[in-house]
Amino acid sequence: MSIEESMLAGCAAPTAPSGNALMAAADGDADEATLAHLRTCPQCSSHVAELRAMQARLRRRLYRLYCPASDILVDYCQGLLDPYQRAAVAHHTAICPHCAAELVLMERASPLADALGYTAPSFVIMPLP
Amino acid sequence: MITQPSDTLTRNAQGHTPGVALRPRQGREGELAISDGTLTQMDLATLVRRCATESEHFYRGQPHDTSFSYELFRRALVERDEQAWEQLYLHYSGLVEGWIRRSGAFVSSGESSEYFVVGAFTKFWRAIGAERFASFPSLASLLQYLQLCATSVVIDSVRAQSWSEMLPEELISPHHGPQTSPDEEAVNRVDREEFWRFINGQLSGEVERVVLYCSFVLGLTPRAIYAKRSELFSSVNDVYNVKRNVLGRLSRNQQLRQMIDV
Repeated sequence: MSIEESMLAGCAAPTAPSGNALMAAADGDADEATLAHLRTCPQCSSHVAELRAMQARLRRRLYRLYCPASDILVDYCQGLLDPYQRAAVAHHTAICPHCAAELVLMERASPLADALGYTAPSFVIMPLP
Repeated sequence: MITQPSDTLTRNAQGHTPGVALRPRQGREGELAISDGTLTQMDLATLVRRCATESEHFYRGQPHDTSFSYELFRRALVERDEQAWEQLYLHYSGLVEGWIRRSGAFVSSGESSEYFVVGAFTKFWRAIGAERFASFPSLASLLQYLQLCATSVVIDSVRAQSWSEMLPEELISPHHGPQTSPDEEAVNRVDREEFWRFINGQLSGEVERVVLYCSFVLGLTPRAIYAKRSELFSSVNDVYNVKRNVLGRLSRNQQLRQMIDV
C-alpha cells in the first residue's frame, strides 16, 4: 500500500488532521490536537507509521551520502588538501550542518591551550646502554 | 611534554609554522640548537632523555628546544622505527587522552578514552609516512595533526552510532555500526549514489530536490529546511506540502518500492 492509499483508507472523523499535520507527526513535530487524535485513531496512527517507515528507508540509503570521511576533514583543517579538494570540502560544509559541526569541533582544538593545561610529561626514561 | 615555543604554535592555512624552517631548525630563540647530523645519530635513550628535559623546561616556562621531540617523530614516522614509535606513544598518549576527554563529542560517544587513544595514534601513523613528513615542518604542526586525528576518531564513533540508529538490529555489529571492509564501503557508496540518482530522476524542479536532499541526505526537519532555504518557501507548511506530495509519488513507484523494501 502506498502512503497515499493508507491515508485514503483512513479516518472519517470530523476532526481528522490534515495530511500536513500527519506528516509533521511523522517528523516528530505534531501539535497537541494531532497528538490527541493519534492516541485514539488507529487509521491515522497507522498512516503516520507508514510515513515514518518510508522516511526511515530513504534516510538509511541517503543519510550523509556526500559527507567526506573524517580523514579528509582532518587534512582540510591542516591545510593539506589541494585547491580542488579544499573547495569541494568548503562547499560541502557550507550546506551540511553535520560536517560544519565536526569542523567546529576540530578547529576548536588548540595544541597550545591544551598543552598548557596538561600535567607533567610522562616520558619514560630509558636506561643508557 | 610539548617542547614548542608558544609563538610557533599558531595555526596557519598551510598547517606550517611561520618563521620556522625545516632545516636547520631553531631550538631556542636565536640560537641554533643542535646540528641535524648529531640529532639523527643520537641514540634513542639519549634522545628520549633530552625530550624529557626540554619538556620540563617548557612546563616551567623556560626556554626550550623542540628539535629532540621533532627528531623522535621523524624516526617514528619516516624511518618507521618501532622503538621510537613506542616511545612516542608512551610520551604523548596522556596528552592525546586529555584532548579526547575534552573533545566536545566524547561524552556522547559512550566509549572509553583509551579506545580512542589507540585509534588516534593508528590514524596518525597511517596518515603520515616518509613522503608526507615534509608537510610537517615543526613539532607544533605534528601535534596539531595528532590532535585533529584524536578528535576525528571520536567523530567517527559518533558517525557510526548515528548510522546504527538507522539500521535494523541484525545488521549492527556488537561494537559500532555495520562492519564493512573498505571495499564494501566503496561499493555501498556507489550503490547509494545510484539510488540518489534514481530518486533525483523522479523529482521535478529545484524545490522538490531541495526538500528531498535536505530531508534525507542532510537529515533536516521541514522546520530546519525552511530556516535554511526560506527564499524557496512561504512557510514551513509549504515544505510539508512538497515533502508529502513527493513521498506520496515515490511510494507509488513500484521500482523504488522494490529497491527500498529489500
